[in-house]
Amino acid sequence: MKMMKTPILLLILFLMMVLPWLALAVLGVVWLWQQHYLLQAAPVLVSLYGIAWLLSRKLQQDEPMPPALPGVDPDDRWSPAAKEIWDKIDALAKELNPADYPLTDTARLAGLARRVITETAAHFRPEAGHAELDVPLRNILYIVEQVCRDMRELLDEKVPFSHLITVREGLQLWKWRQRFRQIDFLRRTLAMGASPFTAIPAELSRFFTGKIADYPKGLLERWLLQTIVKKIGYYAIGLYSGHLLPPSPTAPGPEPEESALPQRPLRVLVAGQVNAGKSSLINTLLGEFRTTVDVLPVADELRVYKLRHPDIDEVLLYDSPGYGEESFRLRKSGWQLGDFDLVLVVCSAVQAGREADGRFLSELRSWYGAHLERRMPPVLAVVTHVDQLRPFREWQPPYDVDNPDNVKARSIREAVDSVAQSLQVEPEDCLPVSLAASTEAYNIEAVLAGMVKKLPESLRTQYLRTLSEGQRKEKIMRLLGQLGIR
Amino acid sequence: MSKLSDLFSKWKSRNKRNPESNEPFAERRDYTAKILNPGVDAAVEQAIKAIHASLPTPVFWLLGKTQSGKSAIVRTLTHSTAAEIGSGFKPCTKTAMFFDYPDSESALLRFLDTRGLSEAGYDPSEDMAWCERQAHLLIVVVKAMDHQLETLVSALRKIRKAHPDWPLIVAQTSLHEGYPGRAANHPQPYPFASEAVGPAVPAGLRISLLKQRQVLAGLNARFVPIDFTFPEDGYEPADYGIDAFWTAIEAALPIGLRAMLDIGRINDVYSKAAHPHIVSYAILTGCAAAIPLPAAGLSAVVILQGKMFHSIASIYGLPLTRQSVSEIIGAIGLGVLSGMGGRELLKLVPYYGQTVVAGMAGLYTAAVSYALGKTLCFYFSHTKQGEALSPEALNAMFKREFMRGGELLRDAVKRRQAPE
Repeated sequence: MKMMKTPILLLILFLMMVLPWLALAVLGVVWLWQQHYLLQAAPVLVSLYGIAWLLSRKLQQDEPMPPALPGVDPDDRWSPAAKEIWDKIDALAKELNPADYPLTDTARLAGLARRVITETAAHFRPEAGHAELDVPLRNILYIVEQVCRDMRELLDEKVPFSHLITVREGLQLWKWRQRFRQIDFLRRTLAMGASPFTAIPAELSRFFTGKIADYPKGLLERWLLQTIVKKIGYYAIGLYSGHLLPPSPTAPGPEPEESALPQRPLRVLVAGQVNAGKSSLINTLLGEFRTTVDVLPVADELRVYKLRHPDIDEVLLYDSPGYGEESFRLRKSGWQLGDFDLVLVVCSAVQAGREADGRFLSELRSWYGAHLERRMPPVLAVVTHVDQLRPFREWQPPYDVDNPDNVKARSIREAVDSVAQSLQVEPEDCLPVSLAASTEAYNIEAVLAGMVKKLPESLRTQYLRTLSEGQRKEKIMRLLGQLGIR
Repeated sequence: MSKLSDLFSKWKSRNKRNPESNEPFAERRDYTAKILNPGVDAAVEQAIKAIHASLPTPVFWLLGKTQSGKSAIVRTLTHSTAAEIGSGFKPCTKTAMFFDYPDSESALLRFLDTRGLSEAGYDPSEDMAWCERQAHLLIVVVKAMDHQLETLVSALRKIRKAHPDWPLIVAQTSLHEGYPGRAANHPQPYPFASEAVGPAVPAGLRISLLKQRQVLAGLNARFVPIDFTFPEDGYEPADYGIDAFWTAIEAALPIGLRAMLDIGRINDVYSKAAHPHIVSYAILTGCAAAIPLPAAGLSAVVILQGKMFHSIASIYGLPLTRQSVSEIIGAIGLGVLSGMGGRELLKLVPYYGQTVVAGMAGLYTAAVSYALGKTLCFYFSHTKQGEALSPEALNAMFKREFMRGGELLRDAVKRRQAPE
């Protein structure tokens, strides 16, 4: 039910409640005047005000604790590039002085918003001259719309009566407050004493903004300003980096974020040197013999296997050709290094030369260094053939690798540490396994557990990956639509 | 100009009791003093330097990735411990380290370990230049199950292009990684004789070995599958393939290295440690004796013998006293040491009739030094147990070892005296 509550009504109601008391005060003053006590009473009243002023000054010195105002947080799915510009905007918002941007000055605020949007656009599209013009007008409107919505919600939550006060009145109140701040308390008290009737409306408006007065001076303005700037930045980043798609004019369908994120299985790249045990690892994970395991290097292209696991939904395992001592040859098969959400580097514990693995990982890192809008997938190192470490003849798992208490466990520990060091991977991300066909596979559940542990990270990688893929598709679809083909 | 007539004329001059002669073998006291305190004068130092420079220490260039089994080869060939080898390697170039056996003072054999091979874009030219002028055997070390040989092959082709004549052995190591199970043992008898891969070899390993030989074909290499493990690894024998490996080395470098390094028949641990030093000093004295300047040559011989005595004493941890040196020399006879009273010993040296006499002095001195060293070991080991030795026992020991030394060092001395 929406009843139109005008502030006029409210004011009347309020006056009804206050008038009797005011009348009493007026009558009291009249009585004092009639009894010739006014001259004696005035200094008393004035001194009381003086004491009250002193007390209030003291209270102002003891700063009240600033109440927790909600901040604006970045989206943790953002790419490194987006994070970078977010930090810039964050810094900008912190520097702003509310005195420079009075909330009543819409032109200045609009200028600030433009500045934020321009900076964001320039960051993502440095090649365009007027980057912000690269974005259609409706996108900017979309940003404004989003910011307004968020601000409205925030104000509803945090600022009392804000849902009652119209913009004009709100601005009025702001102006009042500013004025009160500028006029010192003593003059106000004198004015009260001198002409209570003119002061009353002012004190009434103080009641409206009383909640605001609880905050330390300038805090709320500062918060509002920062929130506005950050919100604008947030949506601008979302728009320019492609996280947000403004509602398509042709297909007003589901939420934009939904459409950019089709549900797809995780892609896991199994990489490693020749004969490191990639195929054996995949076989063991799948629990059946589907890839060829041989002494001599095989597999000249990527092969895909579907792994269903209760904790990870559906995962696609890509068996890559083993890289030799030269560089990683993936491009021949039409795949890119950025096409995967998790990378398993398979290293043989009995092969010391890990330069090829290091090279592969640095290629991977540099690929993501060149594609800042994407996030590097997590890397797990799987150390195979640990059963072949010294002492060769012994194999009685389980072994406590964290606290090695015998020679074999120590050998495994050393192998894991050396892999971690040469690949620059955390030791806990190096998983020793044995995949010997003749024996029980050892520690394969650690690989699955590692994959589950890395799942959140993998999903973030996948989100950005599918986003860029979705964007490519979106562009093509729109082009087709404009050409009247779709 | 025969060395012997030289010595004879010296002997005559010695009989004239020429006080100005600086002949070290003139009196036992002189000789003993020199042994106890091998002070070096400038001329002799020059001579010894020249010997060291002219001595072509054989270099085994081990070319292979890290952990392919290079240290195991050094360990097994020299009977050293893993720790000795680990601390013995010193860097010589940016990408290589060398290890002198038994030590840098008396290098009998030098191993060069190329660490750079595991790095991308390894360029062997610096390592090649470092041992350009030394005798050579290139030993390529690959794990039998390793098929990433691109870097290795490209380095090998570069080396081969510059030195088509260097002998090359490819050691295919860690055979057990290709066995079907942990319980499998080395196939016996050794199925890889004369580069064959016999029917007893497990299928996976066979394929792998043949594939590697295919990849390394055309380099004129000799392939030897080996598996050098620690005794506690549980594979018998721990030096599987050592005979085939030595055969390949002897074919490439016929200087009797195996016999010189063979300490299998020596039981005493100190004696084992001293053996390579004795061999090395014996060869050095042999070369010193062949120097065309007799006086300097002989002084150098005595100084080198003195150094040998000192290093043996330090191995045994016993002091070298005037008494001990005198006892040994007294038992053997100074004449034998100087080559004057040792004529009957010369007959014991094999091929005496066919050997050039000039070369004889060298071999004779080498054999004498070898026998001296061995006799000192014998003396020390008995002294350690608190026994006294009769001069007869020492003399018999000396004669036995003199013959053995002559046999052992024949090729080495001859080879080193023929710089052409």
